Amino acid sequence: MVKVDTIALPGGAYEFMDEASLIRAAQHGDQEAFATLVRAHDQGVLRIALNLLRSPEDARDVYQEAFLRVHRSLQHFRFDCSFSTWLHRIVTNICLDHLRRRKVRREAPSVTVAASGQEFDQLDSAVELRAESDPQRKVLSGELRGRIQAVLGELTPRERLVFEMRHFEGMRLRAIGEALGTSEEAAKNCLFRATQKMRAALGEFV
Amino acid sequence: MNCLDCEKDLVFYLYGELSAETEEAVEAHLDACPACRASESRLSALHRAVEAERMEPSLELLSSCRQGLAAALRNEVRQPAAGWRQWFASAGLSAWSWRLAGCAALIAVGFFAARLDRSPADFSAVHQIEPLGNGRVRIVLQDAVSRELSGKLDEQRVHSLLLSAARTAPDPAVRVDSLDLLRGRLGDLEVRNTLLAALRDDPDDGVRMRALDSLRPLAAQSDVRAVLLAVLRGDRNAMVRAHAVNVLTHGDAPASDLAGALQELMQREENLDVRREGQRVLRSMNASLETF
Repeated sequence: MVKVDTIALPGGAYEFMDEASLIRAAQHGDQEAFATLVRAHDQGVLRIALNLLRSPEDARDVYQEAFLRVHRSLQHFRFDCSFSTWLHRIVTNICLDHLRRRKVRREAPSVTVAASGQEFDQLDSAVELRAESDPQRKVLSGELRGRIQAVLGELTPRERLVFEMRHFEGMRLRAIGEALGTSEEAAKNCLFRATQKMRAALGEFV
Repeated sequence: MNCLDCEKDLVFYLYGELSAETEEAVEAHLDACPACRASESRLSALHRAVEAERMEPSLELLSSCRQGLAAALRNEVRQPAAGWRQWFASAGLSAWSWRLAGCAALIAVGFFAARLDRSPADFSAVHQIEPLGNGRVRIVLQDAVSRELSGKLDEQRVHSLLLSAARTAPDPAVRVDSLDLLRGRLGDLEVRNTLLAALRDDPDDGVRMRALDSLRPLAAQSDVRAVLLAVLRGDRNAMVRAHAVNVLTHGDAPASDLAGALQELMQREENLDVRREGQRVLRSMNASLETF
């Protein structure tokens, strides 16, 4: 037997509108247009936050704060860059704030102890799509994975952001520079430093 | 180019961020220098190890974020009401005017909140508006009523609803659930077409990924293959493109069309994962990595 939840009518014409029209409609208060913009970009936003912060709870906070900021300031968006670049700028700023606060607190966010005393990994609520299809993943030692996470945690927030945007989002340096409001050259230097730190720390494993 | 220069450029060589001229110089040096070639292999292995750590948010997490945002936006829309009250007071309007304005504001907030909170099926559409005079109006709303039904997967009404949900449910988690339930009936033409439509047109990356996975057993069929190749060439999500490479090599699928598509892809693909997956398949086919 199967229970079918929430079968709904088609979403309407918004899915077929181009992005500029959606933005203009949302700037005029059209909430459905705003919701369509959110749906078009929110998986990417959540993925950046989840990978950077490694905590679904923190990623949820970043997601909400980012889109609330977009909602409040969409009126001021003047199309002088792409919406995606503008959104990336907002998300990366919020993530940088989180990472800086975490650096100060030196917290270890991933493992939580339940009321029963049992430890569980918060990251269980994230799906790693490639895990099953990548045999290399299966043989990577726990030690290497732990070391990668440790080195990521030791990078400066900006180095980590640039490194992950390149490795996890596949973004080019020019796009990373735009998202961070800095030059391509500055992003390049940041990426180089981060990679060299990784090489120095993981050299014995690879 | 000497080893020192090569070492300096190696990082950006693997990121594909060098000029064509420098890239060629690095490649020429790597071909001639076993030590730098070994260094390149180690750095590539490091990249793969790091990228294996990438996490993809679950649809459950995405769904809960969307719900949280909708609730927060409702509060955002409500809060300015306090400011309106202040504005009306400072403008010296009478208590009666303020109450009227307040009612209008509340109605507006109600409509806003409803639009944000409800799926289109729950939304009350305004069917008719009739001015009654004396500042009153009669509005006829047409409600879509939520209902629930249970049944076996092979029942026609359940099957039809799942097909409809897979194509039109606004929540991507519901579309994924529907595809999961339908994938056991790949022999059904409608199921097959629904999966192909989801893979081709669904705006959600997770839904397209699930459709792609479901179509794996049909990867050798020509019309399915045509859609898979189109996804490989044009899907906006790199993980979907990389996974399409994998699905296209499934079972007895013919390889002749794939080599050409992958070689063409290598000319313009920027994502490292997709490039690696394409290169792996091309090498396994003993095909050259690019067309010249």
